[in-house]
Amino acid sequence: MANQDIALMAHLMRRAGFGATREELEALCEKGYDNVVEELLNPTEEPLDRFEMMRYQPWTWRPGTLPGMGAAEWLWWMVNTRRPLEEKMTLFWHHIFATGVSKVDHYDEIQNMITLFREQGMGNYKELLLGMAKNPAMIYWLDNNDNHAHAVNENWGRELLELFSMGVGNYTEVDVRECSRAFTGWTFEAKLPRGPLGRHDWRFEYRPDDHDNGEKTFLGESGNFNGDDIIDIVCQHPATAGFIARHLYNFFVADEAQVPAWQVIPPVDEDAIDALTDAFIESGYDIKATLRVLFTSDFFKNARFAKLKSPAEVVVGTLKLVGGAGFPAPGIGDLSRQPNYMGQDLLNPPSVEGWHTGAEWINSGSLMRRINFTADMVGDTSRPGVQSIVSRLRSQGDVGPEQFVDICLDLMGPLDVSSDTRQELLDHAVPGGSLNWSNEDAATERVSELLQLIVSLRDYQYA
Amino acid sequence: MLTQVAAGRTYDFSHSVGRGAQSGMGFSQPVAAAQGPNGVVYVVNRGSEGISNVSWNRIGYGARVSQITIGAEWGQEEFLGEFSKYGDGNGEYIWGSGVVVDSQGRVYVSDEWLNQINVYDQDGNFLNRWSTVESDDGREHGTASIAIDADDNIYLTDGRCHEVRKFSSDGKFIASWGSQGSDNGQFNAPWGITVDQAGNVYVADHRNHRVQKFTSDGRWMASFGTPGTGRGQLHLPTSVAVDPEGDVYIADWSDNGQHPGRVHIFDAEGAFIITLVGDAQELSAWAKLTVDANADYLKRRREVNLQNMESEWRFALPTGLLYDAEKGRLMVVDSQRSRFQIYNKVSGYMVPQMNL
Repeated sequence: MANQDIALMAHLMRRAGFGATREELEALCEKGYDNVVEELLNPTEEPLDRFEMMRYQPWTWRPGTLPGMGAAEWLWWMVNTRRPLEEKMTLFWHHIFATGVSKVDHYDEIQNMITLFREQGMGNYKELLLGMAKNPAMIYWLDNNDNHAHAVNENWGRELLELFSMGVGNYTEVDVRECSRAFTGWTFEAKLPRGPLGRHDWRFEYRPDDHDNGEKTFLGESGNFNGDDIIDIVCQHPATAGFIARHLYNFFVADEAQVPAWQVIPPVDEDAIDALTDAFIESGYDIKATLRVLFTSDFFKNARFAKLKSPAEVVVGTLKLVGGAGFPAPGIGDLSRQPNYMGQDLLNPPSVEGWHTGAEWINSGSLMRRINFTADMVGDTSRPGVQSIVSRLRSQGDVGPEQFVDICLDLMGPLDVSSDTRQELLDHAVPGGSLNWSNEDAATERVSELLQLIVSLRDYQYA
Repeated sequence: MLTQVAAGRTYDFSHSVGRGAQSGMGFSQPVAAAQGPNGVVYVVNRGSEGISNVSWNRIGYGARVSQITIGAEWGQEEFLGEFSKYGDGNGEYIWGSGVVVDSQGRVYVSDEWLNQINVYDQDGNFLNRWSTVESDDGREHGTASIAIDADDNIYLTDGRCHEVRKFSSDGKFIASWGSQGSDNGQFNAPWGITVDQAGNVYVADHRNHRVQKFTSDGRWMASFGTPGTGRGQLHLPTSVAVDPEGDVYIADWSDNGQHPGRVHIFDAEGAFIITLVGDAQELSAWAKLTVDANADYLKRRREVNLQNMESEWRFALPTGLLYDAEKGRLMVVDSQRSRFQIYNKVSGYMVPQMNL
């Protein structure tokens, strides 16, 4: 099998999922790239069974706000799903419709939002926007429960336009006001308090008596608009397609400027954005059709290692690589905190703007967390994924230091590194001489050390 | 319906006991309960994970065994004390999963992660512990639940090895049966287990959506329920209990999207009788203490419409059943609501006339 095929498939699976083992990559290559893209877009594998998690970790059903482990179930889902793009899109939408437990204070409500992303994340964008407008966690997060016919609150209306659809520069302050008026009365029913018997679900409620039925003028159109009319108008605006296209490019292809700068900094690849924008519009806001254009494009295939991994990608991708995380064992709560230690507290973004991505993921503290976590994982030779790498090396027999380094780089990606980086790895490997399997423990230890060095590389931080 | 009449039986909701609490008067993810000879009820709280910033400080919240008594009516329950905590030392557990009390009043608590049983005296003082795994056989084990017979033999389900194992009360292996599959006598993730007065063993075959009945040495006798979420059908059964008349009670996790959990009642021959869905429309005495102490809770509860109250009185993922033969009542461990829901099996119930 050509190494380039493996490398391209590995690139696809890192971006459209959270990576894949070498065994999985080889099987996927047999199917062919385009067929795999279609499988990712139209998964036939069964979704995970939430009751498997409840069976062993019952606290994850309606987790309390403290001690901040509400993402445990989602982490388990990301690692073990057989529908990887569906889950990656769930993460994508969580980046955009960033809603946090710091204010909502109910992990279960944000979990419900995550479920909605999982079920509708590759469907129609307009339907998704409508789902967000009716989502109780979002309503509370952006104060639409305080948006009344005679006392308008503009928080949801503003963010709908600024962060969820068109972006700054495409509407006026009057549009924000009129948009917000249209969403008056979109709220949720009172629910039972969390004490003394645990959490209960919120339910969306439309209160006609609290809706502003007056005439509104929004983006040049006038009428007695309600919220769903506003969403229709927003989706028809060309800026929305371009905005979503740029988000997709930033998340799946290559790091862009941070969202607030999009008004002044042009896209990295205008042609790519145009292609995605056209696909979005021509398909009637169909996310799946837009993703198909993205994953089969040359601009995507040529963008290997052009993106810094998010902390979620680091943690989930590493766990998939090393294996052994299928069973929801004790410690999964602590595991779910690892992305937070690297700067991405899942279900608790820093603000409605979500996380700043790309190079902003990295600082001295978060980098150390990344390296410590990944080195601990690949250094654990009891993990099945690590054993598989060791086994593949062993099957090659005794190899010289150069081959030893090259095989490990290949099995860990394949990972492209500069000649200087490769030389540094060689400086470590050469003094040990050939990898000799006559002493199995010593050879395994050397493999483990080299794998730990590889995950410490700058190159491993890129997807 | 607080009172249900079917096939000559009457099940009358009595009251609920418990509230969410990480210690003291209440429970935290209770998963199993057993009653001692003096009426003391021992409740295994699974609890939840805590943050572990340092390797020696791995913690769990709420994991402990509660000792309570449950009176005949609302408000008569008493908190007696609690013992054990999260950990792997003597008398501690990581994943508490089951509890039984032997003829001498000794309390046995199983650990689903460490695969061992801690034994305590009736006051919760640690006596000893023994492994539920005979030897390192290379398989992943999970001691899901335990039961005890009149001779103090301990039966346990292993949900990850798909088998039942039988031990003496001091941990000597006696027998095992079952393997993964769906034929009679096979299991898929077995969970709840109980022994009836004749010594027969009943197993909640969780992922096969049925309950199987065996003789005490593992010979298959019968199967209860068919897979599904309809009337008399089982979906992810978690626990089973049998009353002195031979009626079989099965808790499951059937999910209508909002309220996961029911209790199905079958007669001894496997004929379906009736289903309970939970009826705790009145707060338990301990829960009422919490609400009465919080003015905002009181106000908000008065704003909630009837439809949204339903999630409070229905079962939520029940995982334990305990039949109190002396008082003739079924106690459902309503795990996610941190309480018991208690139903009296009423004899001689007089049905009121219909034209009232």
